[in-house]
Amino acid sequence: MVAMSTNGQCGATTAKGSPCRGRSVADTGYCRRHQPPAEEAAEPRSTGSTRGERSLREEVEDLLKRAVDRLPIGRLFPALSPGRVVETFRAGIEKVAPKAREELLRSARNFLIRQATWLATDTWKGAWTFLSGVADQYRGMLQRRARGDYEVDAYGMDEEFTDWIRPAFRFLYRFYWRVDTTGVQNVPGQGRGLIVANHSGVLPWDGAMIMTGIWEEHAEPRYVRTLYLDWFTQIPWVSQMLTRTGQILAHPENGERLLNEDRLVAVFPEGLKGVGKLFRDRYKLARFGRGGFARMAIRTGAPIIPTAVVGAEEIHPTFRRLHLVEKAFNMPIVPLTPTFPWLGVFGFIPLPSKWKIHFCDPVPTNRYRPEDADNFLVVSKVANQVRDSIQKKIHELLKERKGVFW
Amino acid sequence: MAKPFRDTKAVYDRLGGLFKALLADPDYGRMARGSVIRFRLSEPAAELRLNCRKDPAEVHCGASEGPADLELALPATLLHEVLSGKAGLADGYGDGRIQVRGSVFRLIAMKPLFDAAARLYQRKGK
Repeated sequence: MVAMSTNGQCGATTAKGSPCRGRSVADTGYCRRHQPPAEEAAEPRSTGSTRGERSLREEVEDLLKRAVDRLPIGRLFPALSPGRVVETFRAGIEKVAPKAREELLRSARNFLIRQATWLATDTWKGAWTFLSGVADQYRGMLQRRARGDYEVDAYGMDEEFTDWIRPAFRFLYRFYWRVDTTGVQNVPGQGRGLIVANHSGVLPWDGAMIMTGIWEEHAEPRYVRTLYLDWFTQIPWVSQMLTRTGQILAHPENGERLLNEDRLVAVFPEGLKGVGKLFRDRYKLARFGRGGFARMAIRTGAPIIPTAVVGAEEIHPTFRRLHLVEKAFNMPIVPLTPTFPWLGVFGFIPLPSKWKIHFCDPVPTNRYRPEDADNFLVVSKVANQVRDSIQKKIHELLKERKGVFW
Repeated sequence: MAKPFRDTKAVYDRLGGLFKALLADPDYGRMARGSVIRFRLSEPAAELRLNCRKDPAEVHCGASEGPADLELALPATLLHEVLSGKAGLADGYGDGRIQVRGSVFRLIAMKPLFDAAARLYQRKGK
């Protein structure tokens, strides 16, 4: 029905397309037959909008005006000034079919109300204060640290630094290696404990992930003090990083001292044989030294938590060891991997294999007397028990794993 | 202005009790689930550790070791003001009175928990 009111004639068009010949009733512009519904008749015919729609439109225009007014963008670009934006909105909304228009206006109103908080000046001021606070705190921290004004414990651990690099380890743990950690409840939340794990992957990433696993998953997160190989002190930056994050040079005295202080200690009894293992020997545990870790645990009465790590063998798959280069540079390991030495320093970037870590049931040592630490049979028994638990769990985890990278 | 906390014991009684009551409610416990939050307060010196990794969440009053996901170092008076609604958490952080160790985004995520704590604190204060 098209409105065309002329001199007392009905302004409607019939279904056949010809003008209606009926006379309009009481200046409505339509005959009796073509009278529009009561509410629609009161609205201006040109826009086809209802009273509800008109108030909705005014509300949206007002919200839009205020929203744009809050943003400084209008002062920079006149085309985005509140008045111009509202004009553009008016022109645009006219092009929308009347049925869809009300729905669209309602959605726009709800959206603008929802976003009012984000568009409020106070929100942006608050965000700016907050961000400048973040920058100030980091700047202050860096300046303070540059002056040497920070605390370390008796072993050189810097808790502030450790907390600062935690997000990087968390990223590696959650997204890069997607570590699945199980049995974390077997790690004591308080008191002494000795984590004994298999070692692999050239660089000590397995230690870092065990530490992160306990930070992230344990109900009583605590720092893990790993005893590391003296070889790592020869790698630039690695030694400093290890000391600052609370790791300590492997020595029985260091281990016993830490355990006597009721700390959580981690050891990798395979040592250099573990990290220098060839890819074809992956997940075959090397000899566990002379059982030094068992001696340490028996002497201090600390429970041993055998820990199986799967995935670390594939981060730097070693196909060959360059023995000549090792001898020439007095380096214990110079591996030949798919990325090293071909890619130079980029060859140190580990591959993103899928990791699984399982903390097995603890092996109690408090049933032995401290003197038993000198009994070779007792020490070998404990060491073999731990080694067997780890090897068995490694096989189980390998069976569970779908592939190297997923 | 009178100090809101006479001594460390008063901090543990009021704030420790507040967080214990708050986290006993499973809805609020869920807000901080998986996080360990430590408050290192000064004037008077006190330490509170909320361990929301445990179920039910645990509130430890006193010195504690180990890493926390979020650690806030601030004067006890400021925490009182934040909980009383007289000061904002972001403002305190912005002007450097609150020192944060850990992710600041976690601090933002904790806002609903602080709001709930503030409501409870104000209700208890009345």
